[in-house]
Amino acid sequence: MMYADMVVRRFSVGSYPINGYLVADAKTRIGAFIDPGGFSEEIAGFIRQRKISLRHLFFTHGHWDHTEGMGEFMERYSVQGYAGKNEVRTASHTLYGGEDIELGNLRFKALSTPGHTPGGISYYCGNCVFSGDALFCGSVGETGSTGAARLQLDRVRENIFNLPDQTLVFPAHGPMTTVAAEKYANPFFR
Amino acid sequence: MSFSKANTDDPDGSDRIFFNTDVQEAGDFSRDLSFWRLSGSSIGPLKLTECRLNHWRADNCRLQKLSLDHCLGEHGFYSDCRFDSLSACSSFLTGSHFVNCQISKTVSELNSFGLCVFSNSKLSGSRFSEVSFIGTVWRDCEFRDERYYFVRFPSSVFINTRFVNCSLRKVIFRKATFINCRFESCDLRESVFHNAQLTETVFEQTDIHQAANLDGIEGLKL
Repeated sequence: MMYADMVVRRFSVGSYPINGYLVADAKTRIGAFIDPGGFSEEIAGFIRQRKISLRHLFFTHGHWDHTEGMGEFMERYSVQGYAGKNEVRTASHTLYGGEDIELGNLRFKALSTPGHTPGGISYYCGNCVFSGDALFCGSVGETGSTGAARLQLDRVRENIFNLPDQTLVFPAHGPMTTVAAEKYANPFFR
Repeated sequence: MSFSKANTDDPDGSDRIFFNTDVQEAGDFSRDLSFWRLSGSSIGPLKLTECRLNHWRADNCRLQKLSLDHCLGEHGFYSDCRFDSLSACSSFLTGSHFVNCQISKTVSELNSFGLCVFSNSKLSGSRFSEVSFIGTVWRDCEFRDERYYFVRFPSSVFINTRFVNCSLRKVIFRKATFINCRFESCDLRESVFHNAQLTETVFEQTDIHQAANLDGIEGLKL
């Protein structure tokens, strides 16, 4: 998928499949993989075919279904990991929300979306936000307590629902959606 | 009239007008085909990958074997159109309107039709898996012989709409509104009607208690 200057490709990854997304700057071909829950020859082929230079792994949180493929990515590519505090031990960059991450000519912003896990991060760039398990189409990720659930709803409202309505939302599970659809029709926010 | 390669020779394929035209291509990749105006035309077979087809306006067209993979096709308007064997995967068709359309044998996975409006339209023989219809509106529509798995209709509104012989397994109707609707011979196993509102809605040879969640449902008459 091409959004202005960004390549986005969804892959089903892992033994408990999730949506992993390969994103890259269309000009420099510098790329990142968001939520490496698994690796496959399909991913390797796409990276080869598009001549993508994979530099980063972005973790939305540290659950095993989002990290299981990390070892294989690290063996094959020279990548650095980015994750929220205490989410992924091997991540070399700790995010708290608000940081900018350069990816070629693209600039990703880390958004703090805790609740599902304490250090949950979403990644925003251009017209796209990658929400992990913080926000699904018509739903939200599970939380362990009422307080965490409230925190998750509040942070999604603050940090994702204030993005432009036309922003495309790429969750780690289920179909893709838009900020407008979730803001106005997600029952958990109504 | 036969459509030639003219559209693909131009790197910008957007803002085209097709009248009584056959549009056939082997495929297209990563191009902007937005703002097409189509009338009385036949589209397809056409395989589009990573293309944009936003703001299409189509009237009295036949779209046959249109395949969309990682495409953006938002805010379209389709009236009196017939979609045969549409394939849509990981694509956005959000915010589109379908009026007097027949949509048959669609195969769709992880696709988004969020905030679309369907009016006097018929869907038949489709297979949908994990497709989003969040916040959609359906008026005078019919679903017949549809096979859905984990399809999402949260906060959708259905008016004078029938579901006939449909498999709606694990389909999410959370906070949906049904007014004067009918479910006939449908499979509702593991479906979710949490906080749904039903008005004059009938379940015929359909067991609503197959649903996994009926909490907060209003207006259910058995």
